[in-house]
Amino acid sequence: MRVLLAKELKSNWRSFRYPAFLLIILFFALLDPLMLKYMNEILEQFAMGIEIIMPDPTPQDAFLSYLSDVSQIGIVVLIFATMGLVAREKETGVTGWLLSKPVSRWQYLFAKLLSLYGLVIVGIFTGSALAYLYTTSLIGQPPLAGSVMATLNLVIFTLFMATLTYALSTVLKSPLQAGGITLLIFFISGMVNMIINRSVAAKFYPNSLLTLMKPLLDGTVNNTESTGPLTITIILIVLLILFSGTWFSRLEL
Amino acid sequence: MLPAGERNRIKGYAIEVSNLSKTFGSQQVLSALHFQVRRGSVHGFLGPNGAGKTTTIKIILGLTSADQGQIRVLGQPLIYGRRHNHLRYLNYLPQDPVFPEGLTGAEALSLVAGVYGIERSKSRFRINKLLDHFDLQDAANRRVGVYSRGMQQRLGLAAVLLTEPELLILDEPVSALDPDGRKRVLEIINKLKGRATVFFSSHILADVERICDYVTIINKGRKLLDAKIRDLLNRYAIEQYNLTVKPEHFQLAANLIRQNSHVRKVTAHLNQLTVISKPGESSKMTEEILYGLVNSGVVITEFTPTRTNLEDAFFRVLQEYQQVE
Repeated sequence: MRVLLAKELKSNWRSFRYPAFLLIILFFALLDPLMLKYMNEILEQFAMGIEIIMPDPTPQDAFLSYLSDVSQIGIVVLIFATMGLVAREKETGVTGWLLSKPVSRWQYLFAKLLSLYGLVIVGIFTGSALAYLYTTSLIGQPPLAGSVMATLNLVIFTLFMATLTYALSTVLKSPLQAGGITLLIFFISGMVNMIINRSVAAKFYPNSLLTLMKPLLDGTVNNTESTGPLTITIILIVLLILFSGTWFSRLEL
Repeated sequence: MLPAGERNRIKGYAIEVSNLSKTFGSQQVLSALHFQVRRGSVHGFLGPNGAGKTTTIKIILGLTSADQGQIRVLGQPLIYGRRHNHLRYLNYLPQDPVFPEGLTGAEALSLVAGVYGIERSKSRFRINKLLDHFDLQDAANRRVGVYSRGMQQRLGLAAVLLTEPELLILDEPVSALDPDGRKRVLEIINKLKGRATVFFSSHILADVERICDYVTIINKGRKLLDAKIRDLLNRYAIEQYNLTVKPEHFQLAANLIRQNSHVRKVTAHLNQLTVISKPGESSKMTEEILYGLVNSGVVITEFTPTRTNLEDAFFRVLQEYQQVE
């Protein structure tokens, strides 16, 4: 397993797929607090003759801006980076070559999942730590507990989207199909979230994890509010892993 | 557990395929295929394109399921979807070797050593030796993606030999190699005889003839023939001779030969006559026509038997099959 995991990390690092995701997180972690801090000055440069005064940014605004950007653009980049995780190797024949060796199909998949989860967890928590420190030094300290909980929500939701991309990449033939369908689901689920936002269903809907990031940071909701969507999202992640693994274990290569 | 070399002395078959059938959609790819590969032998697997060779190999490797039939690999029954221990003693080289993206040649070999559980100190030594042997030492730290097809095939062979398997399944192992590389690989396979079983498909029939002990020929998913190379060549030997005479004696010689009752066919090309005897009558025919020609004053400048090679035999087997069909 260690050997396969090392192979995954090397392959994805050198092909710039994993660094692309990390760079986008780093970009928002460093840029968002700075942008909010100097928003008035920036607007002054562009709006000549018109006086626009923005309210002073709060530490929560700056940290939430980073989380929101990662939850949108970061996830889109992750989908593009991981849509070929299994599909590409099936296409090129690497999967068949590896599975003709003493490597089980589940081991092959778990190595991929572990490397992907490692990327998401380490990437987002590191990014959040940077964004937190940067926000603290520029604007002020966001609430620590709320920041951790909001980051956790983002991590779990991103893991869900990563698992969905991986599962479709396992089941479908081409990386483009996998990426395209995941993107579609990502956008549709966002729209559905806007519709069911105030209904009971929102308490269990995965996208609610993202909606709850702001109130968690502001301290206007209790941490237990996330329990419903967190539980459902984790269950969906497990089901996706089981479904794709079972499918893959019968797949003819 | 016995080491690979010892295990190959165990009597029995390295691969046993019986009644194997496979359909893709409405297309029957394999039909009641059966053959055995003896342990320690070099076994050629031949057939025209689309005969079902690669599908058979994939089923043996557990990558594809069979609709029907049984397979035993190294004595173990193969059940599709189950994890098989025998894969530890087997290594496979696909027709177009592929390696994970971004890895260097040395890293690709380390990956193979790792999944086979070879100790690091041992694998490092073997990797260096193989990189040297296949002239890949200079390219060892370059990514495999920039390798030429020939280099990738050499790396693929190095990856197969690295694990010292007792069963090597090679799909067209020398197709992308230059003559020198081909020669070296064939020498290696030859040296493996008795120590490991080599099951390989190839379109280069001269190579198969040179190194194989046994050969299985399939077409349209059916076995046409399964034989020792020597038996196959004897069975399909064409009793054919080339005869050259002085130009002024050419017509006389052709007429005399045509009159001989043991001759099946005579063809003339430039100053040379090609004579084919009736089956089993070649020695009588040569005796009579040589005696007759010399007695008639024909000056013979060359008389050579033509050796039947595997290519001739292969096409004759296919021809026979088509006639039966």
